[in-house]
Amino acid sequence: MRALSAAFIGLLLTFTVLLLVELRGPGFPPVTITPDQLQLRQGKGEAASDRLMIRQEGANDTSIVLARLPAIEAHRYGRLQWQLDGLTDDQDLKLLWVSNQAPQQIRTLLLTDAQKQQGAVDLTTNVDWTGQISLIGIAVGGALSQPLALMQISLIPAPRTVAGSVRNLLRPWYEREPWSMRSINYREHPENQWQTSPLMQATLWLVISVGTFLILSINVSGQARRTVLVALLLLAWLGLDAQWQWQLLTRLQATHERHGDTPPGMRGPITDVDDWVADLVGGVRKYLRPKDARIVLVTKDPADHVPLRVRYRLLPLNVSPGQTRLPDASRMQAGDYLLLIQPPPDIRYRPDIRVLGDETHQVPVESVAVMRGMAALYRVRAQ
Amino acid sequence: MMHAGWVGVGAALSLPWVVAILWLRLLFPTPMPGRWPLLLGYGYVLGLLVTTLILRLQAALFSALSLDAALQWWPSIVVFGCLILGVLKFQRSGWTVTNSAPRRPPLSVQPAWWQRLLIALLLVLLSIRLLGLALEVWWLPLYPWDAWTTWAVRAQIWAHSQTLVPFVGPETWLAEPSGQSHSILAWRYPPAVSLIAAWPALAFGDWNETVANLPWIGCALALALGLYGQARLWGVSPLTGLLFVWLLLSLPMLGTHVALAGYADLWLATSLGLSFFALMHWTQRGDWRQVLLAILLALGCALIKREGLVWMLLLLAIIPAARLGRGWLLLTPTTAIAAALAIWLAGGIQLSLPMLGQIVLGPDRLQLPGIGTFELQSNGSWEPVIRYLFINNNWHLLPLLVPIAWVAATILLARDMGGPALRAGLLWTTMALFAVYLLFFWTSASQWAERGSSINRILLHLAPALMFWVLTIWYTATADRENGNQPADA
Repeated sequence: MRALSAAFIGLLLTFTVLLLVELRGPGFPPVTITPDQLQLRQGKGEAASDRLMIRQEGANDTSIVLARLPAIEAHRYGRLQWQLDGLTDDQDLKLLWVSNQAPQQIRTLLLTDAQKQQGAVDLTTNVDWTGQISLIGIAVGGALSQPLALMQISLIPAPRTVAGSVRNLLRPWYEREPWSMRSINYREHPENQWQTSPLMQATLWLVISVGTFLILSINVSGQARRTVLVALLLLAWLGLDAQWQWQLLTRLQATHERHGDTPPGMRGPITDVDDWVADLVGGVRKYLRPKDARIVLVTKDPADHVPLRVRYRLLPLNVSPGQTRLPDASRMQAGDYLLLIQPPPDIRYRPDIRVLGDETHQVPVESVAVMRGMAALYRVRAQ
Repeated sequence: MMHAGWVGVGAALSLPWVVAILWLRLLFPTPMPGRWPLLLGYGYVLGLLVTTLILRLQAALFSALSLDAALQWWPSIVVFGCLILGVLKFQRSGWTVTNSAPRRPPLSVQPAWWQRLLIALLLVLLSIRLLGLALEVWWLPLYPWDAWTTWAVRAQIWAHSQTLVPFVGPETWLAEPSGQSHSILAWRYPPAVSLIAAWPALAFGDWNETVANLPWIGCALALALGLYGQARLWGVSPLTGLLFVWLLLSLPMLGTHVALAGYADLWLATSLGLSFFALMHWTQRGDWRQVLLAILLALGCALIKREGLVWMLLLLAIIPAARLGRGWLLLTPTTAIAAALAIWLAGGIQLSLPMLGQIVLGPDRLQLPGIGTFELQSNGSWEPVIRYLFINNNWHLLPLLVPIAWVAATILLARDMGGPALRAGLLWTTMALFAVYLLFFWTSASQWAERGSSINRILLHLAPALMFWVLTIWYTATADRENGNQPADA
């Protein structure tokens, strides 16, 4: 009975403390995306210091502007505002974002005329506005009769209420988080608020419950007291493990949906994350003769995901791990390949003398294939 | 229709296991609680580690004889067949192992109804966890970063070429125009884990990510069985044994390393853990079979990763420490600290040892052969430690449990309880955690801690050993009263 009382008092006190911290603690500042952070992904225009100008629509009469975010928590920001001049009534405006809940999917929200006029939208009730938002932007549908000027996009924190704070405290217990292709040693990405961490919540409950029980059980025998303390510890552990088990089940369900249909004997490298890398590698492979030639991979960041995935997908071909500079020509031999993936900007191919060069090295090559904006393949010529 | 290669995969994964179990059974011929889980758990890990050595030997032999396809899988299968015949011959000849170490009395009390209920509940929880992880391994292609940048790169090339193609550094690779070698950034890392991934793929007949990942789920199962078997041999009840298995398998970081198969750290954690369990048994009861297991698996640590060499040396250090009395136990670290201080004040020492290379112990630099060079300066931060241990749910409540256990062990030691195992366990835990502190607070590895890419994997190596250590303290403190047993050596 004392143990149950201690556990119950612990629960009440923990909840009260966490709620007070959540309500009174430091809030979240608004996030303002300035023109220099905005990228015109579709359409033509230019960025100035105070605005992004969109002068011509892109494919399908659509202009798209996107900005990367430092993975902000959707539930902390309930309202989005923007300042866009030049939009006409016959043009559609869509909000776009990518959440870690579905990293391969761009979420869209077609804005109403009222929202377009207000330059703001309330997202608190949108079911897709969840998880961590890493990419946000707008899409303008329709031909441009005049240039559009996008001054900024702002995310405004949701007002703090008791109900909202309770939801924020409980959300980490049920919000699903998919596997990440980053190092698996970052198992989870909790927000920077200790009070919403299930581990901190469980630890606080355990400490308060144990303290309460010790006060209530001064006359209890040592063995009985120890049994209760261990039971409280195991209960907290079980609660945390239930949350982890639920996470595992949701992740397993997602894995099954993505890969369960593929027979295990046919299973190749993961494709839905980097299908464009697969296309690129497929394009490069058909030019590589003979199969045992050396391929020197040159890229501005050898530790980046893209060159590393290209290298893995090219296996078992003999590809170097990736380097930032061209190799010395004396180290290359005729028939070797140079594969440029997102290369440093100073590497240039001079077709007149068939030489690939940067500031320090010149390698005689012949151009084999160019995948514009993505990669280029060269075969080394005899010197 | 089933791919014919699956039969090969089944044989490749089961034959080394069966061979190792049969040989271990010669060591542990007498039925006792926990024997079969121990044989199954230790057999799996030892079987696969020996397989990697056989593959390396086979590749060297084929290369010396100028034969192609040095990594075909059938010669190793023949070797395993011979090893089975060998063990059967031993058994028929009546060869048996004698062991003079005292045995714990078998548990005589039947579990009460509530204990049986809890056992059933724990079995359900463990089954759900292991089944889920197994399905994840089965369905998910190779996923985590280091797996497809390092470990599986070598495995795939070896599986395709069926030879142990050498891996060299990028500069050496560029300087060799023949194209006979390959390169990865972590080319110095030991080949064992890549060979474990390549082995079933060689049997399958082609590179396949699912096939290459399969040994990882077996590794988790082996760890669970090994822990349960050793816990039962220690004298705890089935309920306590299962409870600690559940505590270990519930750790999210461990589960992640199983689900996202392909990293080496699960193998290192398992080898180190199994070695530690066995060493604790030996320190407590002097069972030479356990020290044999401990040494074999400690050597396995060095085969798996470079950090494994540090863990192996720390494990081996507790062999003499276990024989020391309480006074010596206090004197030894005091002497070590005094020696370190003297070396620091003298400006450091530098030794060149034949076969090993140069050892430098200096105030600003630490260089250990086979491990690496570390520039020493105080530049660590507690912030990532707190974040990854106490805020992110990577370890459940283990980071809270370990300091409590450390205090409890110190109190028990002061009361002269627990025997040599308590001393050895406390010494190893202190040294291991101090080594982690040194790494993340006094070397350039602190930046890995801040980025979070390293701190969890290093702690994963220690997690199984820490869990067993907590079990031994729990056992000493409670004398497993639920079954009316007293610790044999307390």
